[in-house]
Amino acid sequence: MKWFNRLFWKIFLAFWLASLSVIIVTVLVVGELAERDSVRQVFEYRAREQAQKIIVWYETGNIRLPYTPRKSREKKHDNDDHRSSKRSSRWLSMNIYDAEGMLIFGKQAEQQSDRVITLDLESSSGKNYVAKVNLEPATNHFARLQAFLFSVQAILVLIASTLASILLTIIVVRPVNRLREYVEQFHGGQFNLRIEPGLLKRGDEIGALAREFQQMAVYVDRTMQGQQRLLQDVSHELRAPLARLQVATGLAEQKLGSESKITQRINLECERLSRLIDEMLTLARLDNIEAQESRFDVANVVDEALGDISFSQPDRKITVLNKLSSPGYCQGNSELLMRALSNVFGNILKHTNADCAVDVVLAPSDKKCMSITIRDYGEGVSEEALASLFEPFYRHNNNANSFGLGLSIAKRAVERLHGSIQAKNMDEGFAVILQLPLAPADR
Amino acid sequence: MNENHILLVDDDQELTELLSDYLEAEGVKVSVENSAKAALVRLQSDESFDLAVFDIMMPEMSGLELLQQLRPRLQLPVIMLTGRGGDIDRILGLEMGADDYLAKPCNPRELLARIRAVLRRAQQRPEPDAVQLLTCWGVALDPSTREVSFGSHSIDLTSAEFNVLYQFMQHPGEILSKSKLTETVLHRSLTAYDRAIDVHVSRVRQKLAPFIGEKELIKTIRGEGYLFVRDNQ
Repeated sequence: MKWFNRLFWKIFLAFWLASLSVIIVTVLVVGELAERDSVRQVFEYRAREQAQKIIVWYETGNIRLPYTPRKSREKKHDNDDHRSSKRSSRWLSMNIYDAEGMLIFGKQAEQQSDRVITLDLESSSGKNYVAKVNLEPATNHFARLQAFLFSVQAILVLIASTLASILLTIIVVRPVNRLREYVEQFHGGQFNLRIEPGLLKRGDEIGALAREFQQMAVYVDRTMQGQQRLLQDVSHELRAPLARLQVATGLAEQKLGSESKITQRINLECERLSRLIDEMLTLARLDNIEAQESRFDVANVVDEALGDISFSQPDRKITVLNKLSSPGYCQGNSELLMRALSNVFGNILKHTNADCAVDVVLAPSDKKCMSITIRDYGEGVSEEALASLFEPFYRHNNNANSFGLGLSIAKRAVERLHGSIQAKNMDEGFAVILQLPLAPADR
Repeated sequence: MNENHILLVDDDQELTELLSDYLEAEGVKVSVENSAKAALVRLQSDESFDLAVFDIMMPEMSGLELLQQLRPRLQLPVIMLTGRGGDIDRILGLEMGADDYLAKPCNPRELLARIRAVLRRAQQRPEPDAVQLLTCWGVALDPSTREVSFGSHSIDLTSAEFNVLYQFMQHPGEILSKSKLTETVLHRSLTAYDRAIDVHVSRVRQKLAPFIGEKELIKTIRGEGYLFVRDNQ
C-alpha cells in the first residue's frame, strides 16, 4: 500500500480540507453578511452622528462654507480641525446640502449615486438638511482572507483541526487494521478465528462490522466443517462395504481361481471405486492438512514425486531442469506440494502417449516466487477446456479412467501453500505452471 | 511349519467374518475381536498369537491407542489398517511401533502378502555365521540377541528399526536404495507413495541422535537412497 493510499492520510487530508473550506466560507459569507446589515447600521449611525456634528458647527458658524475636508481616509491626527471626533478613527466622506439644495459641506464632484446613502437630517433649530454619504470602497475579500489566514486564530484553528484529525484517524484506523488482520487470517484458512472482545464490544460501525464478520466467520466455519464431515463420513461409510466387497471377491477368487475374468473385473472396478473415494477424501482433507510452518526444499519434493512416478511408469522419459541459483525453500507443509505435483504428473502422463517426453523446469520467477513448469510435447488442450481443467469432476475427453479430481486437488493444495497454478498451451504441447512463494531467507 | 495364529481387530463384524474365512482358506488361523478394549484384554492374557492386525478407525479406542497401550511390553508384530491417504495415521502407526501398514480398503491378497512378509521377518533367525557384534561410531549391534547399545546405554529399537540399522551397519559407506532397503527390511517390494522405509530410517536417526550428537550418520542421497557413513577408526 502506498502511503497516500492509507486511510490515515485520506482522513487527515479530508479533515484538513474540510476545516480549511469551512474557514474560507465563514470568512467570505460572514464578512459579506456583516457588511450588508450590521456594518451598514453602524456606518449609518456614524454618518448621522458626523453629519449632525457638522450641521451644529455650520449653524453656529464655526466653519466656512462650503467646507471641503481633506482626504476622507485621513487619520485623525492629521485632521486638526476635527480633533473632537473621537468615536471614529477617521472621517467619513460626505456631502451635506441645506433645504434649498445648496452644498454646505463636502466636495461636489466626488459623489456617485450607487455608492451613496442619503440621510435626511433635522438640526436642533428645526432646519432640514440632506447628507449624502459615500460608502466605503468595497472590501477586498482576498485581502481579508489572507489577513485572517495569517492571523493567530487561524493558525490555532488549523493546529486544532490537525490534532483532531490525527486523533480521529487513530481511533478509526487502528481498529480497522486489527479487523483487516483477522480477515487476512480468515482468508489464509483459519476459519475458527475469534475476534478480540475489544473490537466486538465497540458501539460504532466498526464494532458492528466486527460483529457481522465474526458471525460470518462462525457461519462459514460451521458450514465448512459440516461439509467436510459429510464428505469424510460419506467416504468412510463407502469404504466399509467396499472393503467387504473386496474380501468377498477374494473368497470368490479362491473358489474360481485367480484367472477368473469375473473376479478380475470386479477387482478392477473395486480399485476404481476405491481410487475415487481416495481422491474425494483427499480433496476434502486438503483444508485440514496442518499448514505446519516448516521449510522444505522444493527440488527434493519434486524428486520424491518423480520417484513415485518412476515406480508406476518406469518407461516414461521425464527430464528435470533446475534453473534455481540457490536451493528454493518454501514455507508450509511439503505434503501439500507432494500432492499437487503427483496429481499434475499423473494427469499429464495419463493424457499423453507413452513416448511423449515431459519436462520439469524449476526457475525463479521473481524475487519472492519460484515456478515449477511441467510440460509435455503432446497435442495440447482446447482453449475452452483450459478454463475448466481445475474444476472438480471436469473430465477432459471423457476419459473413463479418471474422475477429474486430480487437478482440483493440485489447485487446492497449491493454494494452501499461498501459491497459484495455471494451465496453458505451449507452441507444442501443454504446460501446468505452479507459482510458489519462496520462504524468506534466514540463517 | 506349524500354523500361524493371528488376531484380527476391527469393529466391522461382517468384514472380520469375511476376512477370517479368506485367511483360514489360505492356511492362517484367525481369531477375531471387534473392539480394541476386548483385544487389549485378550492380548494381555493370551500370548499364543504370532501377529496382530489392527484397524485404526474404531469407536471408543482406536487401533493407535491400542498399540500405544501394548508397546513396548508386547513384542508381537503388528500390521495397521489405515484409512487410505491418511498419511498422518500411517506415520503415527509406524512411529508407535507397528511393523507395517496397509491402506483399507485393500485387496485381501495384499493383506495376506503383508502378513506373510511380517511373519517371515519376525521368525527369521540370524544365520549362524553372521553372529558377530557390529560396532560403528560407538554403536554396538548384536545380531544374535537383536540388541543395540551405546556404551552402557541400551537403545530400544522395534524389529523393523533394528533391521534398518543392521543393514546400514553391514554396509557402511554404501548407498542403499529405498527399494533394496524395503526388500531386505520389510521383506516386500517398494510401491509407489510408499514412505514406510523413510519413517523407519527417520526413527532410527531420532533414536541414535541423543548418543551420537550432531553427527549425521545416516545421510539422505537425493534420488538414490540412504548412506551410512563409514567409521574410519
